[in-house]
Amino acid sequence: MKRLMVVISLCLIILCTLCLAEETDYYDWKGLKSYAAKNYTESIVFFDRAIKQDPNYIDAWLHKGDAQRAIKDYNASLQSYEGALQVNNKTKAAWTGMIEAYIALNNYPQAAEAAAKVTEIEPNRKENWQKEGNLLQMQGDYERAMAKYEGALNLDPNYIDALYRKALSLMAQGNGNGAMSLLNRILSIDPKYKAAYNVQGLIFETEGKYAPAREAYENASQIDPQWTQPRINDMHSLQALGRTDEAMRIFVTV
Amino acid sequence: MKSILCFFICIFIMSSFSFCQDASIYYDNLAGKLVSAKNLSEARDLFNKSLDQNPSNIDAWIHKGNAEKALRNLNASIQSFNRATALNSKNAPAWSGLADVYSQKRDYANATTAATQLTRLDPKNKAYWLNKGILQQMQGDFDNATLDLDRAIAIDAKYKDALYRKALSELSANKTDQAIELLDQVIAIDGKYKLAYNARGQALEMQGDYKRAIAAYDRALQIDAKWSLALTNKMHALLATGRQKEAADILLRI
Repeated sequence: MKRLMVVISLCLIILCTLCLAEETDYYDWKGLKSYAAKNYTESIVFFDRAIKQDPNYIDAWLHKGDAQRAIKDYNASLQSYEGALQVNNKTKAAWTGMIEAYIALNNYPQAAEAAAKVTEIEPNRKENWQKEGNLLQMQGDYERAMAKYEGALNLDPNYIDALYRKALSLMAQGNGNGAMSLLNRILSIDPKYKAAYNVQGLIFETEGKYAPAREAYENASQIDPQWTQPRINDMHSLQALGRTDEAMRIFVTV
Repeated sequence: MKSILCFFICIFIMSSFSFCQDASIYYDNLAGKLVSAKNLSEARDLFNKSLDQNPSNIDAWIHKGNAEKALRNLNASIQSFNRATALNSKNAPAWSGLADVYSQKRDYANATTAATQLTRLDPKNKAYWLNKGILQQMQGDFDNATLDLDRAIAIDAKYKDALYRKALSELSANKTDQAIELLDQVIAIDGKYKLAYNARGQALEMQGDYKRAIAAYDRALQIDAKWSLALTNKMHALLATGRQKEAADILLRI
């Protein structure tokens, strides 16, 4: 009899634990439903309930962080992602969420640090290297950014976005020839990469080669006639050539 | 007996005519309320009803033209405004509507024709001269634009928009000193006129004075930090002075 009672009690304890776990899952699920319906404030209430029941429930921390980010409460979202990281410091989604929150706060140094963590967790993904490089460029650190683009290019030597950003780093460091060679490589991979033509134009312009600069801007405009930047750039080349009437024709229409 | 019959027929015709006119005005007013509520499609249906009742209702044609314009049905809008001008060739809102829609269609020649009609209807209206001047500039006819802008300035010597536009005409002829003088006048009238600072930067750049050009672009950017035109112009001035890193910083953000 005594034995039976112990077994029943054990079963009850297991059942209660399971129910509690299910309830946590349920609250998180409810929160996600509200989140999907863009009812972010309500979703946060559900995620809080899930976290209260189980502070180690990483998904609820992450989802809460995402919901707070959706309502632009970036500082609070950072705390939530931190909650997830306290449970597991290698939670990639938490670092990714932090990157976005820091970018929204224009805090690029912290965003870059978070991006470095993502790269550390998942070094075989080229996009992680790229993101880290881009965030370093946003801080004006073109040299360190170069190393990150190298990391991306080690994984995929034809990764156009990394080639392009690396070209920008070279241009920023005054290495026009190096940048130009990368831009030519991009265009041999993808002749429709308009941004490469545009930067080619800028490099030509820096070298005082206005005719090829104009040609490059024209190529960019042909790919995307709605893109005003190469047209404005062309205006400057025309100005430098003393063709002010043509330059001003562009000026009044952009 | 015959004359009584004639009398009643006349009364009936007059009543019908009066009813149609009233109904047309009623539908036009009702549609106007829908336009205010931004319910443009339904408003257009009511304008059509109004015009079914009385095709000579000029106001309804104009209002319909405006509704079609807001719905981006530019050809239909032109048709409506044309009907209004056919009914009354001296109707300024109809010509104004035509000038605006043709301008949106980038048909600057027809827009100028409509704008010319407005200057004939009301030669003392400075805004009409300015509008015509701008349309001439859009076609690259800076000389004739100057004539129109001078008419606007003759009406109001402190008309900043006209002074600014005249400065652009001067720049097209490479008369940078005259342009700067006009732009300084604009800035003296309105210290927050960002376009004037930007054009001043252009003028200084054309004179090869990149340092002061950058300062002028910075003034424009103090007013509107995210203005891509001023940012792009500053980027070019920086490139011209060998400040590639700062130029790249801008390129990443535009």
